[in-house]
Amino acid sequence: MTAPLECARMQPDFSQIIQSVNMGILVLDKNLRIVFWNRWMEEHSRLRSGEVLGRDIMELYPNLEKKGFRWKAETVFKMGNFAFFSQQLHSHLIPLHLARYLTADFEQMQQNATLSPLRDPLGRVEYLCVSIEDATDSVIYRERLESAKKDLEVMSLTDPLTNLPNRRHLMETLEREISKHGRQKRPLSIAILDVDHFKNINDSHGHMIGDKVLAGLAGIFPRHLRTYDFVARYGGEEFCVVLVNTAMEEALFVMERLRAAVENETFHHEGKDIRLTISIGISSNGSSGDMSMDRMLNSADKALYRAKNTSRNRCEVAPAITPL
Amino acid sequence: MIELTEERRDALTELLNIGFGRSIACLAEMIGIFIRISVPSVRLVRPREIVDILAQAEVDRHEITLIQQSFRGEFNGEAVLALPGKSGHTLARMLESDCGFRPDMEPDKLHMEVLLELGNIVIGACLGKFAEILDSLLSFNPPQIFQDNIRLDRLKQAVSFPDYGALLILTSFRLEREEVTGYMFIFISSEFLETLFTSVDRFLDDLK
Repeated sequence: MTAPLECARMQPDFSQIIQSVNMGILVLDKNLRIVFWNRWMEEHSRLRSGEVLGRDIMELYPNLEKKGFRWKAETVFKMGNFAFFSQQLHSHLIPLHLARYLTADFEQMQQNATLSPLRDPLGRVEYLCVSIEDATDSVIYRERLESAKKDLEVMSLTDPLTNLPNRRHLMETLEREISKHGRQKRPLSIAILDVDHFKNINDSHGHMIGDKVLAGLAGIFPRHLRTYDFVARYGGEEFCVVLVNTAMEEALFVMERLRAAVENETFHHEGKDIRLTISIGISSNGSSGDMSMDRMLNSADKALYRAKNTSRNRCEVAPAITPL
Repeated sequence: MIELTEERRDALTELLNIGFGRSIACLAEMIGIFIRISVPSVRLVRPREIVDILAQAEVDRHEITLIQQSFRGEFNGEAVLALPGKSGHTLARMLESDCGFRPDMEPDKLHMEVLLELGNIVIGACLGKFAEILDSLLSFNPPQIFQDNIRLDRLKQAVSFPDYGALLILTSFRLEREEVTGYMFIFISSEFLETLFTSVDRFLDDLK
């Protein structure tokens, strides 16, 4: 007896590996009949190897037809390429039991599956190997992470008191819209509005009521603005409306309507009826379409100042802008 | 030793041309339309150059679909199928209607699945053939898709290039009737160039 054979007798049977890996492995012949089914597959499908060998996998798992499995398998046999079923698009390839019990986010094990060609010594593809990886845990973590990220994104752009977009969101939107409208030479208007004598409300009813009034005021804005108007809390009792594709004249019409609506509204809080009015300053990017964010905010602010200094409860427009 | 000689370049061009020809034949068979292809260009590049090269290839048309797939074997690397403009959508539509690959999925997911499969087949067929001629086998990782308004300045972030030099193979195809063009880039990291060139030399010796 030669040494290599001695050696081989001492070695463990490495074919055990395929049975003990933490991955589903099955092999199909050209007729898609199962010729190999590893232990992982037995454990997760609850079907013994002896029960499935020789069976047509399309009959055993009819859902494969809907996943385009036959088509992909044919390309592997015909072209010798790999094929994939991603969890993100398919969620699973073969319905298998979950390996975890504590969280039941899914009914079936989430899987990434790979089809790969198995070749004979002449290089011809005779069999197809399907390997299945349990992706459930990583999917759960990914989904939790994504939902947390989404919540944070919303939080970072929302004013918690009024639920309106916050100042940061406003600045981002304004910067984008100004540059877009400037490029396309389209009219853009903005309005800054301020609650008249808000200090009096705070002083006579308390800050709690003051906050509720602000939230209530914010709540009626959408009803009196157009669907594509963007309204944000600018700070304190100031709000800012971005009116896309809107020239000064139309902006004035829209904001005047809002001003009147606020004047006619009664806010009820803890048995008290509170009425209020708002002053509004409006500026537009003008016919040149060329204006910086600072200049637009500045001239709207100046117009608001004039509204405050005349009689309040009114709209004031900034003088037509001449390009620098 | 690791020099892209004229002889090696010609051999690589020819071998990849065969590979690319085969993958385009697969694609043409699936959609039943004649496809024109260009002769591949093979060169050694630095990662910084890649974005410029993509720009020259007019890939930047605001909208682009990138399908990326990495491969491993005697040489590792990654391939990118770039479909500018509406090419990705048009091709996906043609595949959905003509090639019999109709998994039962939501329209958005189906669209992605078809594009991924398209990339998988085109890239797999080309590199599979290329490796086969060199008497080698490659394995493939699942393809990934980058879609929707990927601009060239973001391309660099979307596709991870190795820090070191790479062998860049660039080729393109165009569908006769439809407004569809596509580019394929193959990057092979420099650390595998020696193995690759050895295989190419062996192939050339066998011819002599």
